[in-house]
Formats: sequence, structure tokens, C-alpha cells
Amino acid sequence: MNDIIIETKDLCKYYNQGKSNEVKAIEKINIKINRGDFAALIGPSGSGKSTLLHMIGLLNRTTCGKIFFDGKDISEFTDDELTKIRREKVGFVFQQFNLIPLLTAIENVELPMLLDGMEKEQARGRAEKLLNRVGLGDRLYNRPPDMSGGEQQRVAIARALANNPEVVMADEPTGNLDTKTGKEVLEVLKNAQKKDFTLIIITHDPKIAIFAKKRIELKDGRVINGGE
Amino acid sequence: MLEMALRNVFRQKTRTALTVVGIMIGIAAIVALGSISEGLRVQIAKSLEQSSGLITVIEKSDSGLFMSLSSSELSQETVDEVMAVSGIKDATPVVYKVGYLEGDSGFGEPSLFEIGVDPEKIDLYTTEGARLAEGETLDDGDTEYVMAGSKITEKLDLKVGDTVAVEEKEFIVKGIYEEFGNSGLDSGIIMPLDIAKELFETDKYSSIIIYPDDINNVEDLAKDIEDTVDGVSAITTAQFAKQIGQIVDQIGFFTIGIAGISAVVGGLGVMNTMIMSVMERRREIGVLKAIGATNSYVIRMILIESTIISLIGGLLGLGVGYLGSKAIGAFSGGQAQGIVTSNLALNSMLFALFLGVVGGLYPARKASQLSPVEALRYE
Repeated sequence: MNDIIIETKDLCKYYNQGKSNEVKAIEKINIKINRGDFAALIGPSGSGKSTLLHMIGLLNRTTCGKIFFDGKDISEFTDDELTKIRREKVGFVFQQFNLIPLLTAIENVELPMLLDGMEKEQARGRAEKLLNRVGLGDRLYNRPPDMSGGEQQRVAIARALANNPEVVMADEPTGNLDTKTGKEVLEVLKNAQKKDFTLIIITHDPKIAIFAKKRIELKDGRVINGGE
Repeated sequence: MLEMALRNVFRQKTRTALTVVGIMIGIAAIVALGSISEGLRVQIAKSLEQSSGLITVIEKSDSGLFMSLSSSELSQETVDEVMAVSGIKDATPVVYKVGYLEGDSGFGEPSLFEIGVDPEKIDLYTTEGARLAEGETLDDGDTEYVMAGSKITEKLDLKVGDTVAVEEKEFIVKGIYEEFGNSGLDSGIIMPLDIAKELFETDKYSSIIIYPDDINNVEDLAKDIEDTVDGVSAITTAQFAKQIGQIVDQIGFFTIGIAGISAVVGGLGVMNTMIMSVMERRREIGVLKAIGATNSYVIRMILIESTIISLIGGLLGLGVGYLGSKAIGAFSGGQAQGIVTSNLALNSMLFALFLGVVGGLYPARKASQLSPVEALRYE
């Protein structure tokens, strides 16, 4: 098994390429993240953290350079192939929670499993366990609009863990929460991480960054610290 | 996915309801108008069936079968010539005139036909299918008497022995027919030929009804008549059926075409609704894709939603169209009988389905092409 789960080579992403308003969001990024790492992407706003996370989370296409995910160069992969990898190997936690408001907590957690072809009953059982694990055993059938921010983010974490991912990517998961709730949510994430997946987290919060085993610092779209 | 699609459809209840109504109106119009033209076809087929094997001879004209029927004039000489053609078992000249009842709108089917037939040959005109409900048939020399069809009897509330005025002359009703299914008889008042000619002030005949020696030779006999006698058209039931069928088809195409346009507008409503729905749910669609929904999953999800809307509209349209066709039947006093065939129902539902799929395709494709990152960024 490859020790390096994610590696980039001269990765760049430009928006409005070739036009007068071209933006070089990230440029010449070379990073390596090992399996099981807890890595923090840090840096000021506009430094390219989110763009990088979206790229290595296979949500966006590269402009130049390469991304190796689990040892495979994914630059030539089709949309559906990328979707399959995301579904099976990546879990996302967003700052805005991004739950489906029509679905209950347990249905939101089931969804990635159902998309992966799991039987409904099996998915339900596993979703219930995951929600218990994040401390929401009594909120299974609530819908996101009826839940607090911290609860929603815990549902999102349970959803991210649904298909036993190899990597969980979290884009400022505590950014929309008060300090106390943010700390609780982070605890949930960290506890879950012990169960062997790679955690990559974007944060502004130095206190969170301290916990990270690896800190990758970006400025103006380039890595200035901790890439390799 | 179906459950999620259903929830999405009913998320914006008012918008969905309005879209459903759009489809419903179109499909209801198709069903109602389609059923009326179907009813017309069946009614005509039924009345033609009863007179199958007969030949109707009329004056030759270029103005089309139905115009010719109402304006046809045959001289005594022509009638004699026609009746002399060999192969005729029995024949009778007929005069008729469209009459009006008080309170007639003059719209639609005439409510009174005044018919003059030789009393001895009356069965030839009414064909064997007509049965007397009351009274007796006319005899030779019954100059003061008439026979009445079922509809006219009902309208004028007639009984045997009552008097009825035709062209300002009073007659006594001698016999009343049972309902026959042919408005020429059901709305007819039949009087002796000579009296009718006198009354209509004419020495011409409208048509000749001919019964051939050999029923299998109808077409040949018709051709012989046309070849032998100048200036006449000999029309068989099959020709009638064909011509009427063409007209009914044209009416059907025209009316269903108009209804179809309104259904297509309903389909555009579905597309509009789905485009708005996709725009509003960009973020959700982005999330779905981020957590592992493929493009085809997103396409299917949107198509299922648009199809649910159009099928609900279609089903309601089918119901409303059925009621509409009954209502038209009732308002027209039974003149227009709508028949909703299983074929019509099935086709209108398929059309609704088609509108849903086509209306959903563009928004579904748009949704599937959303980049998850762009969609997630959308507030």
C-alpha cells in the first residue's frame, strides 16, 4: 500500500485563463500527505487554501500540474471516475454544513451509502451507528432546519464518514460555529480520525492548527511552508 | 430516489400546482375533443352500418359530397333512367328538406328533416333496422299522415294521433320509430312523396335510394349507374364511410392539434418550473455531486421530478377531459357523444409523459453539468 495518499506536482489553477482578468488561484503547488495524517491547510483569506482543497478533493479540474490520489494520476480521469473515487474514498465537511434540507439527519447520512449501491436497511443501520457516534442518537429524524449549527455539522461529519473514506476533507468546519461548539465539533472529528483515515482541514484558528501533525501554509497561491 | 423526487416536487407547492394545472388543461382538451371526434366516428359508423348495401344516387356536382347531398336535384326523366338500369332490386326516389323548429340555434346538426318517400317503399328508406315504437307505417293514400323519428317525437312531445305542422300544413302522426342512431331518421318526419313534392313546391327529387339485386355487386352497380346515366353520382355506403371518415379525421386532427398546442405550452411550463427549481437547488446539486452522485443520477433525478409533475397533470387532465366530454354531450342535448377510448386515454398519458421528459431534459442536463465547486459556492 502506498504511504502517500495525496501528492501534487506543480499543481496550478487559473480562473479566466488568457483573459485580462485572469486569476492565478494557486501555482506550482508540491505537497505530499501521508496516509493517516492530520494535515492543516493554513494561510490568510485568498491564499488559495479552498482551491487547493477542492483540487485534491477531486471536486475541480487542474489547469496544469498533476494530482496523484492513492498513487494514481487522476488528471485524465472522467467526471464519473472522479465521482466514484469521491464517493468511495473521500468525505467532505463544509463550513456551511451543506446538508440536504429536505432529508432527515439519518437520510442525509444514508445518502452516500445509497449512492454507492448499499441496501437501504444496511445503510440505515450504519447511519444510525454513525449518528450515535457523533452524539446525535436522539436527533435521527430531525431535519437540518430544525437543528443547531453544531448539530448540523455533526450530521455532516457522520455523512462524511458514511462510506469509510480514506480521506476526510474539512473546509473551516468550525468557521460558522461559536467557540464552544466549534471545539466540540473538532473533538468529534479528532476522535473519529483515530479510526484510521487521513484528515485534511482548512482553518484560520491557530489552536486547531496546533493539533495537526502536518501544517501546510499558503500565501498568494503558493506553499510557503510544510509542503513536502 | 423516487421518494426524494416526490419531496422535491412538493417543496414549492403553489408552483408545482400551477405547473400541473398547465399540463392538465392541455391534456383535458385533448381528451375532451378527441372523445367528441371519436364519438362522431362511432355514431356515423353505426348509422352507415344500418344502411350498408344501399346506393344513394344524387345529382353530380363538384361541390363535395355533403354540399351535393343538400342541393341535389334530379328530374323525373333522370329518375326513370336510373331505375331502368339492370341489377336493381328495388328503388325509390326521395325528396327532403332541412326544416327548423322554433327556438333552433341553427348551429350544429339540423333538428328536423322533412322527408318525402313513396309509402310503399318506406322500408327502403328507413332500412330494415328501424322498428316502430308506436302506431303503424304509412299506407298508400295516407295523404294526411306522417311518421316521426324518436328525437323529433321527444322534442315536440308527440304521440300517435297528435297533429304536427310541417311547412304550415297539419298532419296526423301515424307511427313513431324507435331510436335508430341515424339523425336522418331520428330527427325526421316522413310523409308521402307526392305530398312532400307539393309541399316543397318542386317536381325534382333529392336522391334515389337503390337496393341492388346482389349485395356483393354494390360497387359494380354504382359504376353502371354512373356510366349509363349522365349527370348523376351513385354513392355507396363504403364511399360514404370513406368520405365521412376523412372529414372526421380532419376535424379530429384540427381540434386535437389545437389542444396539443395548449399541452405543449403546459410542457414549457414544466421546463420553466424545472429550470427554476434547478437554479434554486444549485448548492444541493453541488453537494450531491460532491458526495458521489454521478451526472446520470442527477439527470434521472430531475427527469423523475418533471415526469411526476406531468403525469399528475396528465391524470387530472384525463379525469377533467372525461367530465368535459360528458358535459359537452349533455349541453349539446345528446348530439355530440364523447367516447373516451382506452387508446385515447393511453395516448394522452403518453403525451403527458413525453412532455414531462422533454420539458425536463434541458434543466436536467444543465443540472448535471454544474461543477460541484461552482454549485457549492452559489449562495
